[in-house]
Order: sequence, then C-alpha cells, then structure tokens
Amino acid sequence: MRILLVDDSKTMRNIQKAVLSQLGHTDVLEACDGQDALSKAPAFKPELMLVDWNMPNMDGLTFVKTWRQNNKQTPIIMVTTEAEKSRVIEAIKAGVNNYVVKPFTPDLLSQRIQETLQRAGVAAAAAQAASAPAAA
Amino acid sequence: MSMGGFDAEIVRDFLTESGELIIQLESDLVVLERSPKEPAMLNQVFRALHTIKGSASFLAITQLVRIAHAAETALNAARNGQAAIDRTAMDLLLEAVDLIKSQLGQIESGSALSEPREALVTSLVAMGEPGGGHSAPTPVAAPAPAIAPATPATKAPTPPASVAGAIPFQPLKLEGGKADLLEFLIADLDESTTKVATAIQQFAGNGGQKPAKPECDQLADLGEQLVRTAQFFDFAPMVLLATTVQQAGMHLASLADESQQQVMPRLLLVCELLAEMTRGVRAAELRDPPTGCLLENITLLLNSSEVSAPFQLPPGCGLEAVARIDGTWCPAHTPAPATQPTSQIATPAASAAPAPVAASVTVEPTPPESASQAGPASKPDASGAGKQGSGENTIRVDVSRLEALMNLVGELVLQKNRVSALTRRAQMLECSDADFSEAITLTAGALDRVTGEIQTAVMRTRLQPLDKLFGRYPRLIRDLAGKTGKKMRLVIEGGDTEVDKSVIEELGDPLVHLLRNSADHGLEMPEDRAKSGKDETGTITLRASHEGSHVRVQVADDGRGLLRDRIAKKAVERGLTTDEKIAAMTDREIFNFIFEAGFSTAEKVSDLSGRGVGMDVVRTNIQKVKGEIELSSEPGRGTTVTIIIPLTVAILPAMMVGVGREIYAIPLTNILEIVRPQADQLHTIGEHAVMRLRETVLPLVSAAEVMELVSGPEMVEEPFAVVLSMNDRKIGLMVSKLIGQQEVVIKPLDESQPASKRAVSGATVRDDGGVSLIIDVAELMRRAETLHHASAA
Repeated sequence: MRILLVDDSKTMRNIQKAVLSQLGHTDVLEACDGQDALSKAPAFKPELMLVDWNMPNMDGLTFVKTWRQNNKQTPIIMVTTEAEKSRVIEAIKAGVNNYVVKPFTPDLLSQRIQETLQRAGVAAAAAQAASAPAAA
Repeated sequence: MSMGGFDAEIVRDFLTESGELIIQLESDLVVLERSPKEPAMLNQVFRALHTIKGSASFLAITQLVRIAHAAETALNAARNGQAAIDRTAMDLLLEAVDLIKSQLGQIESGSALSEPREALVTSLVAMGEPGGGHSAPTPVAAPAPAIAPATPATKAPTPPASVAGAIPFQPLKLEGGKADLLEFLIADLDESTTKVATAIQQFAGNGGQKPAKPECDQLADLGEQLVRTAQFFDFAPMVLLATTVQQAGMHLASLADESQQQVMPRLLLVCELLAEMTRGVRAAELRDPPTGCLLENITLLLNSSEVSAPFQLPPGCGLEAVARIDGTWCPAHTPAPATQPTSQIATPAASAAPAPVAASVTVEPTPPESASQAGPASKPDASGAGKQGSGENTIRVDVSRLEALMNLVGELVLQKNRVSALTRRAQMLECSDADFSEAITLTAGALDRVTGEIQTAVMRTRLQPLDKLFGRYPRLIRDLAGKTGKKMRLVIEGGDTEVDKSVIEELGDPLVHLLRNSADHGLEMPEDRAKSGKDETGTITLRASHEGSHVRVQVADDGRGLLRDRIAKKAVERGLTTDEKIAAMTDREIFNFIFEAGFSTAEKVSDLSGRGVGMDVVRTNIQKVKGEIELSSEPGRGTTVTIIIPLTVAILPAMMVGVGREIYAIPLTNILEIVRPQADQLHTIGEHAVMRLRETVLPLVSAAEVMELVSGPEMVEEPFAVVLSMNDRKIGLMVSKLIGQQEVVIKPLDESQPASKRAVSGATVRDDGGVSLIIDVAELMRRAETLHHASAA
C-alpha cells in the first residue's frame, strides 16, 4: 500500500517509517510539510496519508483542506499530540478520517490504519449510494 | 541506553535535528523577548519545542518530554493570549531550553538525564493555567463556554427529556480515542447545527427570494463538515441529515420558486432533527428520530423533481404540519417557524436569532480557540499554492564522507597539475605528430577546467552560513547584559555569508570571547554612557562579509575604546617591548599587544571574560584556520576586532617562487603584484632595506634570510620583489626566480615541529612531483618586523 508520510521532523518520519515497516508497509513516501505533500501526492497517488499537524510553510490542517478540495477519498490519518486533541474535530471537519495521538505504539497505529481503511471503504460506498439518487 | 527500541540512527537523527532546533529556538526566544506578541515567532518557537517533544515522546525520553511539555504549555498560553512573555517568563523558558540542551548532551554521551527542577515545571505549567489547579491541558478551557448554553436549552418550551422518550436511541458508544473527543464533539455539534439552522432560517425568512450563491456554498461546506464529523463518529442517522444539508447548499441557489417553497419548511425540520441528535449526544445517546419520507422528498425537490400530491405542503406550513405530512418525528409544541424557531436549538445565539440580519451564517459566537485558529490556518492556503514543490531539498551527509571527498579532490588536483606539467614537456619534445600533441594539450586543458569545477563544487558542499554560529549569540548578549547590569544590543549583519564548516567550528569560541570582551570591558555602564552623551544602550555589531576568497568577520562595540598609553605601559611592564620602541609604534601595533599571551589590562578580573588568557588563545585559534586578527580602537568611540579567514583551508592558488635552489609556494591571495625593482628604487632607511614603489615605500625582506636559507654573508641573488599584503600591511619579499601559478593542496606539517618558526604553514606536492613549503604570510610579516626591530635595536 502506498503511504504518504507528512511530517517536518526527520526523526518523526523515521520513527513512523520504522513503525510502518514493522507493520509491513514499505512503500512509503516522505514529505516535509503541506506544500511538499501537495507537490508529491498527485504523482504518488497515496492510498493512505499520515499527516502531522504542526509544520512550517503549510500545516497539516491546511494541507488536508486543500487536498480535500479535489480528492475526497484518500484516507487521511492526522498525527496529533495530546495538546492538539481539542482541535481534532476541526481536522475531522476538514476531512481527516482518523487521528492518532503521539506517541503511538505499532499496535495502535495498525489498529487505526485498519479502522481507517475499512471505514473509508464503507464511506466510499455510502457516498456512491447517496449520490446515485441525486444524480438521477 | 535503550530508546524505546528504536535504532541508533534514529536517535542520532533526533539529536542532530533537536540540536539544530534548539539553537534556532534560543535565538528566536531572544527575538521574542523584544517583541513578545509576534505571532509568527511564537508559532515558530512553539513548533520547534513541539517537534522535539514529539520525537522525544516516541523515544520515551520522559525527562525531556516533561520539561518540553511544560515549556510548550506556557508558550501555548502565550499564543492564546492567556499569558504574557515577560522577563520572568523568558528566564523560565530559557532555563527550560538550557535543560533540554544539556539533556540532549547527556543522551549523546549516554549518561543519566537530569530531571527538571520541580519549581521550573510548576511555574511553566502555571503560566498555561491562570486559574492554577487542574492538571488538564490548557485548550480544555476553550470548549467550556460552548457547553454552557446547554443549560438554557432546558428552559425551552420542550424539555428534551420528555421528547427523548419517544425517540428510538442507542447508548452512545465511542471507541478508545474517540471517547476522548466527546466534549469537543458536543461543543462542535452545538456550533455547527446552530450555524446550519441560522443559515436555513435566513433563507426561509427571506420572503421567497432565492438564496445567494455564497451563502449556499457556505451551507454546503457546513453540511460537508457535519457529514465528516458524523461519519467519523459513526452517527449514521446524522450522516444522512448532514448529507441532505450539503445537497441543499449545492442546489438551493438554482432552484425554482415552487421547489423552494416546498423544500424550505422541510429543511427547517431537518435542523430540528439535527438539534435533537445533538442533544442526544450530550446525553450520551445516539438518537435516531424517524425521518419518514422527509429526506427522500428533499432530495427529489433539490433535483427539481416534484413530490407526489400527498406530500405537497400548503403555503405557510408549520413544522408540525411538515412532520405530519412527511411522517417524521416532530418536536412537540413547536411554535411557528418564522417567529421563534431557535428556541428549540441549544444555541448561544438564541436571543439574536429572531433578527436574522444580525446572525449571519459566517459570524457566530464561536469559542475563541476555534475562531482564532480557523482564520490563520486557512490563509497559507492561497500563498502555499503558488510555491509548489519547494520541498525538502537538502540531505544530511556525514562530514567524514565530505572530508574524504575533499581529500580525493586534493589528490586529483595534484594529478591534474602533473598532467599539465607533462603536457608542457610534451610540447617541448617536438612531437612529430602535431595532431596528437594538440589533442593532449586540449585534453589537459579540459581536465584542468573540470577539476577546477569539481573542486569548487566539493568546496561548496562544505559551506555553511555564519548564521548557524551567529544564532547563538543573541542569547549570550542577553545573559551578559543580565550579569553586567549594562544595557546592550547585538546587531548581526551578513549572517548569510557562507564559510567552510571547519571555519565555523574554529570561529565559535573566539567570537564568544570577543563578544564577552566587548560586553564586559568595551561597553560602559548606562550611567557612564549617558554622561558622555551616548545612548545608554551599547551596541555590539557582529558583521560578516566576503572579501575575495576570504571572509571578514568583525566584532565592533561603541564602548570606551582602548587607551594607547595604558596598553603601552602594560606591554613594557610585561617585557614585551621597551619604552624606546613604543614611541615609534603605531596605535595599531600597540593595540595588538593585547593578543600576546598573558596580557590583560582589565582593572578588575571578572568572571565573564576571564583573566586575560583569552586574546592570545583567540589569535591562536584564528591562525589555525590561516586567519588573521586585527584590532583597532578609538578612545571613547569603541573597539573593532577584525578577523580575516580564508573561505577554505584545504586548497589554495599559489605562486611558486624560487629562492636559491628551493621552491616555495606563496598564497596568491596575499600577492598584490610582482616587480623587478631597478637599482634606483632600492634604498635603505636606517638599516632597513626598502623599495620605492610608485608613491609608496615598502619594507623589503630577503626570502633567503627570512627562511633562514643563508646563514653566512654569501648572497643569494634575488632580483624579484613579491609585494605581499595582509591586513593593510605591505612588504616586499625578494626572491630569486618566478616559476608560475599553481593550485596547491595543503598537506599539514607534523604539528610537533615548530613550523611557525620558519614562517611555513604547510607543504605541498608540486606539479613536477617535488615537494615545496608553503609560506605563511602572516608569520612572515611578523618575522620581518622582528628582523627590522632587531636590526634597529
């Protein structure tokens, strides 16, 4: 599965990459901020994105909003900290599908990824069903 | 040390990254102290701490996380305007940063981590909690006012509890992480459903006018956000309602009047249903009020289809009637929609709602937190789109690899020189094959060019902006100001000047020393400054610029300056010179005694600048990177120390000269010109040989003599004068032969040998394969001076 990892800290990316590879995900592309992610994502066509919130140039929330304008489906997991939890709803409204609070264990991330993918599948089906009568 | 099971490389990356962030953080904090409300700077500082903390928490470095979290809490409060960054706060923050810095060092060295001082953590955290008391993270405070309006809702004509009994519901069950979000969710649902209701009421109360496009777009956005929220929490019934709202936003503006009339009352009912569900969430219930044909009918109408006859709404139809016709749940005792619809909805804007003009869709009393953040967050959007692909374009490379590369390039340059030399010989050998000879010449030329480019490119990889170094100093000056009780500011100019990495390393300590000297000895106390008509705040300027292949770094203060007599007296006392010589010396020569070992004029020894063991160490450090240091001063006006260092220290263009039978390399940068003086240009003043060159008179030294090639009276013929300059001083060096220009790769001499005694900075391999010594111009000049002084004495 192609995963786009967006975080400004190289350490954080390495850690998350290590966790992802423990989970068997090795097709991971890194981006260092929202802008970088916007430039890399279209070609990479990620099937999942892990997005940090606090980043220079373009933060995670802005990135998600921008990305969602044209890409409704790509599952996005927001990586937040305890302090940012109060704003998670904001991210959800912007279109993230799930969130995970740092620091997370491989188990937790794995669980969140599965949840997210499953729900994204369900949501996609529901969206199709909902738009079908509207289109008629 | 086990770091949460992550490998050593991740820990190393963490240390490098955090180290860089900390340096930036320190200088940003000092900037922040001057303009404490600068949001960009606050954010930058916050982000840096946040990044360090985030990584540290993964690596399970609890001691570091603890202090970083405390500092972050304080900064977050400052960001939200809850706390001010005053001097006390800044002291706390800087202490926290210092601690993190030493913790990073401890991780690197594998020693035990220091725990943060309890009082420090408490004070920082207290900044984040003006009330003090609860231990939850600060932002929790924000949603509180949004929950408050829940109470007025119970005063509404329909107590939710009585209705809830009629509504099917499931207990609200949220998995792990989602349960944590409940209170934020409630606040948001209150806000969002209110916004949706306000918008729809406004459309409905518009007297049949078509809703405007922007408002409709906003409604669609609100609907979409609500859909996402509901999906996230698996509130299936709410997803359907919210989707309907979204579709309404997309289609309302283009809808025919009849459809509008049919759809508006239904949308108002949707608002009621949403409000009911929100109340359910607050009561930890997932309520699913029956919606009958409501949503289907709305979808039909929005797609410009007609609803069948039984579902046609009569004009002026109230909510209750709509609910009956479509077969939905209905809020009991619902008043007419146009007059008091909001009473059903838990809204902070309840009182404002009957006047729809005031309660527009966009402006709502939102919790301060989300209001302040939604604005700035959406801004970078526009500017960001333009700067596509400005991604990460740097990589970290182990320095040892660059050094290895540099060494190889050095070898390559030597071999290239050799090829050039062989080519010249081949030309002289009158090769019978002219084409072949020319091909060799061309190839040698191309090799020469490419090698030059490689060399520059490799050298560039080692260049770093001086800001990396300068960034540490604002903090230093701040601390010095605190310790000395003086007022001072640091002005940094030319921080983007790039120099070789090794130069940065060697420059660090000397600059600290010079800055301390300026702060401690150079600048006067504010009262004294005021008395002499100066600004009470002293200025220390740290300036960097390129000067050819050298970098000039200056530390200048506008303090009291040096007193020639006092230094001269001290120099004589120390036995560095004699009274007679003093008289003939320029100010500069005298000031530069400061750089001699054990020289100090400070009347009281302070713990800041030490005991005068500094300046000679400074000079030694600078000379290590082939640099020169000079000092100039004006009494009452200040002192300026100028350091001139070569950009790189490994390869330098040089002129090869013959002295007797030896061949020496002279760094080209120090050569102004080479002349062949005529007899009438050569003079002696006293016992000094001098040369008249155009309008000036230059001291002359014989290379053979300085390099101690000749011990007796036998003379080496030296017809050429190489005019050398360094730091505005010029001398003529007499040599026997000019050989030509060459790039020389410096091979250090054995450090145990007293190389400087011979004014030699290293050795190099020549293009003919022989070995030459490289003349150390700075040392040569000093030797020339002592020779002159010695002969004068």
